[in-house]
This record gives sequence, C-alpha cells and structure tokens, in this order.
Amino acid sequence: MTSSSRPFDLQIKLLMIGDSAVGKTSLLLRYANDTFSSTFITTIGIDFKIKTIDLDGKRVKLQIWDTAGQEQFRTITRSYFRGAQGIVLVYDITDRGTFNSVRSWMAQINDHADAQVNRVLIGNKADFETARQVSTEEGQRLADEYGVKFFETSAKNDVNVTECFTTIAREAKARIPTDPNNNRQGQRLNSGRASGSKPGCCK
Amino acid sequence: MLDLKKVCERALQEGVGPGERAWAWRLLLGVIPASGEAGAVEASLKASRLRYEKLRREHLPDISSSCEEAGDPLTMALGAESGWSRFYASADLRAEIQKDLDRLVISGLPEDHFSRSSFWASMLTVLTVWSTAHPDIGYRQGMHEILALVVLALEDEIAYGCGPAEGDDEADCFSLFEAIMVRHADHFHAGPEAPVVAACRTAQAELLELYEPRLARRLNDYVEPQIYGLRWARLLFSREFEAPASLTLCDALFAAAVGDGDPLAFRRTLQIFFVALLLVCAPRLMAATDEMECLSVLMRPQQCSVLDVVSLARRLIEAQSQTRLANDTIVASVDDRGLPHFTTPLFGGEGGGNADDDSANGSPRAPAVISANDDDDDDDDEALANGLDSALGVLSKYANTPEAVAALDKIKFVADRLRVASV
Repeated sequence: MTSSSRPFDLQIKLLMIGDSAVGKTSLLLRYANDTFSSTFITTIGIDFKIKTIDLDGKRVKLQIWDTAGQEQFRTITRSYFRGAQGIVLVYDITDRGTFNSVRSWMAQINDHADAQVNRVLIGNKADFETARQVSTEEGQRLADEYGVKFFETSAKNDVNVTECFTTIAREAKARIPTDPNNNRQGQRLNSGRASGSKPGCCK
Repeated sequence: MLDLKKVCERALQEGVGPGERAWAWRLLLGVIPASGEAGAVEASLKASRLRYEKLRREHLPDISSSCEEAGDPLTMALGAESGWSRFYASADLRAEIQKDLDRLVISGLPEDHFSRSSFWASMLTVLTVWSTAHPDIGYRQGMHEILALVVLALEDEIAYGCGPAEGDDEADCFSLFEAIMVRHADHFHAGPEAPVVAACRTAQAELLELYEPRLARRLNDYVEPQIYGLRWARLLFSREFEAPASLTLCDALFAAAVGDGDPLAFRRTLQIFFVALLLVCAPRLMAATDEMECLSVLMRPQQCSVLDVVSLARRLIEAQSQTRLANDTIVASVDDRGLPHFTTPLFGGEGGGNADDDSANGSPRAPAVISANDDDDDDDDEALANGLDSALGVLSKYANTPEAVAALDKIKFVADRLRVASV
C-alpha cells in the first residue's frame, strides 16, 4: 500500500467519530477491505486506512482515520480534527444512547474542527431491524437540522457503505484545490496546534 | 523455591515457560514476596484473596445487598449516595465493559478463546471491581486487553498444573491485574497533556535521539508519537505481536522494571522497550518517504522477532546501568516491604555475547550508545551532544513537570556518558 507508487490528483483526509461500538471500524473495513467480522476489536487511540478511488474523473486518495469511541475528543482525536476535510459521524440504530450523543459530537466538531469541514451522519447496523431503537425519520430529522446528508448503513450486509464515503469525499473535493503538492503540505497531521505546543521537540 | 534474580535473567533472555509465567509475574510484580519462600508466598496469596473478597463486597453491589442497605427501590429516593444509584451505576459500568469483552480477540488465538474460557465471567467482575475501586480513572478501553494477558498466563498455569495449591482463580486474576495497574494505570488517563502522551513524546523525541538521532529526526518530522505510541504503551505492545510473543515481551518488561512498583520507574522501562521496538523497525522507517509510510510500519503488527526487541531493550538497560555504575556502586538493597532494589546491572556480563549474535543475524545496526565504546568515534560524541542539547531545550520549557525531572535524568546520563568516553 505504498502511497507514492500510485499517482493521485487529490488527497482527502476523513475522520470517523461516534460512540464506542457503533461500528466505525466495521464500516471502514467494509469500505476499504470489503470484509466484515462480528468481532472487530476495540480501537485503541486511532487507526487508519488508505483507499484510492476514481471520483468524477479525478484520482482521489482517501486517508480515513478511525478513532476510539471512548477516547472522545481527548488524547488524540482533538488534534486530529484540525486538518480533517470530512467527518463521518456514526451512531448505532439499535442503541438510543449513541444517537443521543450525536449532538455533543456535533458540538465538539464545531469547537475543534475547521469551520468549513464537511460532515455526514450515519445510522449503522440497519440490518438489525428487530432491535431498532431509532427510527429512520428521527435520524433524517437530526441530519436536516444540522444540514448534513444522512444514511442508514449496514457494514454487515454492505448497504450504503460506499455511498456514504463517496458522498463525503465528493463534498470535500468540491471545495479543495486539486494541486496535489499543495494539498500534501496541508495534510500534515501535526501541523498547527500540536507542533506549536511543543517547539522544543521538532527539529 | 522461586529465585527472583534467576527469574529476571530468564525473562530478559528467552522468556519464561508458559507453566511458570504466572508465578514469575507474581514474583516480578511483587504480588508475592521477593524471597519466594513457600510459607511467605502462601501467606501473601491468602492475604490478597481476603483483600479481594473485601473489595468485591464493597464495590460490586448486587441486588440482595442493595435491598438490605437501601430498601425497596420503588419507594426509596435515588439520591447520589443511595445504594440503588450505586447499583445502577455499576450496571452501566458492567454494560460498558461487556461491550469490549464481547469483541475481545487476541491475535494468535481463536476468536472465541475468551468467551470459552473459565475466566470469562471473572473478567467482567475483576474489571468492574478494579474500576469502581479507582473512580479517578475508572474503566478505560484497553484495560480489558491487559487483563487478557493475565488470563492467558493463568490459563497456562492451570493447564500445566502449576497453580497455587488452594486456588481462587478470580482473586489471583485480580491480584496480578492490580499489580500491573499500580504501575500502569496512569497511562490510561486521557487528554492532550495525559502522561501517556508525554511518555510517547519523550520516547520518540528525546530517548530515541540519544540512541539513533537520524531516526529520531525523521520520526519527529513525520509523526506525532502518540498516534502509534498510545496503543503501544497502553497495551504493553500486546497488539504489536501475536500471543504468546506478547507474553514473552511482558516477561521481559516486568523483569526489567522489577522493584517497588513505582509508576515512574515502570514508565522509564516501558519507554526503553518503546525505543527498542522503534530501533528494530529502524531500517523500514528509514526507507519510508512520508508520514503515512512511517505510520504503516508503526501501526501494523510487527514483522520482527519479539526476542530481538527484548535483547535490544536489555542492552539499552545495560548501557544505562553501566553508566550509572561509575557514580553509584550500591548493590541490591531490600526495602521495608521486603522488595529488592537493584541499582547495579541485573543482567551484566552476558550482553556482549548476545550483541554479537544479534549483529550476526542481520538485526538492525546497534544504536549509537552501544557502539560508543570505540571512543574515537566523533559522530557518536556529536550525537550524544545533540541529545544533550535537545533534552536541555525541553527542560527549559517544562521545568515544573515530572517530565522535566525525567529529562534531567537523561541530561545527566549523557553528561556521564561523554565524560566516560573522553577518559
């Protein structure tokens, strides 16, 4: 998966957030590797996948960061909001508590992410209809309130997964200049706040 | 009879056998006395079981005791201090922990290993009791994987028929877990200024600089250390290797950190293993050309031998100890809890031979501090001086923190080293 061997026109950094065990890692692995397991282990801190796709005639390299739900906006996630161009906010339709957290995640995005960052709201585990606690209409209403697109997905049955990632990538792409060199500079994860806070460490 | 020094040596060479591992950990983590004498061991096990029973009663409210203490849940007010609110808080905590246990898989073992284990129910209880007894930190994701390592050690002990004569598996499990967490719990605190973040930063930006400055500069240019390091440190590297290699690494880590359980001493040891793993990855990291390639090396399960990492860590520790010896020749002392303090190298005399073996095997080249024995090498002196500058820079920024104290240690270390080299 060496990045340099595959040419691309544009690089987009996406970030997946949401409560613990809503299926962030499952969605990502379904999208990036086309695999699913019922026992995806707990993400500790942060992890990432790279997927290069063709999007409206451009070669787009998606760098998708998967965060630990329990970590919230603390140790790692917060510094990662800076520089993310798209945010995938996930809840679990079978767990109302995770839906109730969406507002606080949105507030955190406001506080810590770039002002123009694109967002998409995902209700995952849509295959598990018998355990549903949050209706599609409620999810849609909340998404409308924030002015973001909404999908119900199933990582297990591969429903709407590609669509949600393509949508957020397309929205982000629409406002990013396509010079790959410029863009790569802008991608430095520890640019801005993080490096500014520890001037003694960086050569 | 258990011999602490022999266990340490073995743990830092090839690891201990699966049947003996739990005993070795009890000894290394101070769950049983350092003397290893049978009567004292039995007494300490008994005491820790009684202690666990008490904690369990105190921190694991069940329905019947909540009824007794707090009365009928339908008529009693659910105030913050009421028995029932404690009961419900505990139920929430258990649900949160269970979510992680349900998807606990250790690389190298079948997916259903833990759900089929005789420890399955105890894992939830042990984590609940520990978290409730430590409300300042509570349950944090990843603690369940530390507990999983303990469970694997105890399962092996039972399978080999080596367990304590009068076993109480859950209490034994708790005692080992608690002993690890005495040293390690700080690393589960979250936040941008969390100790684990500072520990990762010190390891990558400063310690590595002492041993392999070129790699340190490259990483500091590309990678924020906690991105990969948080998982390395919190899980004691267990996701970077498959079981049982991850257990072998714990053998060495606990042996290298043997002492009175001081969390700062444990952190320093953890950082040495952190640097050792970076050094083992060095050839691949030096070949990487950008941040994502570096992270791909650092965040995927390691393709290296755990014994290479252990051997390198041991050599780094020896190098530090030998430097300290110049000023400090006190031999092992025993503190008032009967636990030993080693201020001399525990493992002296055998490192040289192993170093030669490793280089013959094509391991990454020895770090600067190891090869600094040839005094003429100006590059090494220069590297050490760079490290000194870097550490001094940090100290001036963080003069009021524990990190500053650690940095001060390192400056002393380099200063000593330069002095020795210039003789």
